[in-house]
Formats: sequence, structure tokens, C-alpha cells
Amino acid sequence: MGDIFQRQWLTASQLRLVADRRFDDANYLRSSGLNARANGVFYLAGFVVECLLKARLAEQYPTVASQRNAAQLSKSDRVIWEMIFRSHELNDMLEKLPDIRKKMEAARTQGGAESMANLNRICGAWTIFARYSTHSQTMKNASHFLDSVKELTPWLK
Amino acid sequence: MAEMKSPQFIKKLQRALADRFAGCKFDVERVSGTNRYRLAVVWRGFAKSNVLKRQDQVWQIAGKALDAPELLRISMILTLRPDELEVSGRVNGRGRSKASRT
Repeated sequence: MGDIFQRQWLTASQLRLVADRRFDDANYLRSSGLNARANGVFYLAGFVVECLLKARLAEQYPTVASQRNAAQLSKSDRVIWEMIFRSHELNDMLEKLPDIRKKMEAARTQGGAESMANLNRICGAWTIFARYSTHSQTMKNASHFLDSVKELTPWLK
Repeated sequence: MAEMKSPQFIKKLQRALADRFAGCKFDVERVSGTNRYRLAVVWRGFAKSNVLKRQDQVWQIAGKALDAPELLRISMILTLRPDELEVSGRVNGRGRSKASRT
């Protein structure tokens, strides 16, 4: 068995693989139907989006993504590096990925605008603090959130 | 966010949001180098600790008030209570960025 606690510098394809696996984890928790598992579904669903946005960033900024030492980078590249390797701020990542918006704009007659609004909604709501929260959500809400993420996945891949 | 003259579709969105969230305050910012806008809605009546519900509400309103090309020009809508504004000290996404790094 591999050491899952070891830090890895993931490639875009690895990030997408992790996104798929965490989506399956979330789906498995959902299948329990228990409200007690709802926070886990929320956390994992947002984490799926985080991985997919990071994969896009890694592809769009390959030089930055291949750098292991942020100090070697310019100030603006360091911002991107932080997003790929440190940050969990989905809104900030999304703003650095205009190609996603362009793709949705191009498909606005096929629901692209609604999907973009949905993506904005998810990025606006989800934070890493979900994993520390003592508040509880319902599985009904979590299931809806996970479905929203599933609908967005093709746009983000 | 800096004071700025908003385009018509932003005003339309603000009117729709103000109809639902009476007495709310807005902050609007153009995303640098783009034709997109960020909004912050500050309203005392937002449910505490339920950002998901707030986001559902504002994007539902935006979806009804704006047509598809306009909707695509909204980059983000922050939803804050006045007490949260005092804590964050800034009305934009970066206000919470540092805190959310691990």
C-alpha cells in the first residue's frame, strides 16, 4: 500500500483522477441516506470542483505548475502557484480560468449560462471550512449539491 | 471595491435583488481586464451560517432577472451580513483567501 500521507505534486490528469475518486466517495456517503453523513458529501463535492479547477490551472499554466519552489517565480505567477498547490478558494481559481467561461458562453443556447451561474453558486458557497464545521446539513441538500457538481463536471474536464 | 458606474444589466440585477432583500447594500467591481462584474450584497436578513442558501437565493434571482449573455458577465455574487463585513474588513473574495489556506 502506498503512503497516502506523503505530499505529491499532482499533474492535471492525476488531479482529475483524484476528483473522480472523491466524487465516488461522496456518492457512496450519499447512498447511506443519513443526515449524519451530509457534511461529508458537501465537503467532498466541493473538493471535486477544487481538484478539477486545479487541473485546469495546471494545464493552463504549465511552467508554474512544474515549479516546486515558488520563490523562483514572479509575483503574478506565484499567485497562480498558490492556487494550484495551497489555496482552496474556488472563486479565485475560477477567475483565472476564462476558458471555462468562454466554453459556457459558446454553449449558451445549450444551457451554458445556467451552468456558469451554477458553477458561480457552488464556488461562492463552498469553503474548506466545511471540514471543520460543527453545524450539520441535511442529506437532501447535500444530494442536490452533489448533483449540481455532477452536472458541471463535463464543463470542467 | 471601488465606486464605479454600473452598466444597465447590473442595475437591473441590483433592482431584482433589492426587491427580495429589502434594505440591502451593494458593492460592484469590474473584474480587471474583462467585461465581467463581481457583486457583493450586504443584508442584515441573510441566514446566519448558511452561505449555501444565500447563494441559492441570489443566483436564482440572477437567473430570472438576466438573460443568458448578461448572466455570463456576472463573475461572483458575495452574500454577506453586516457583521461578517466588519469581520472580513473587505468586500471581495480575497478577503477570505488567506484564512482558507492550509
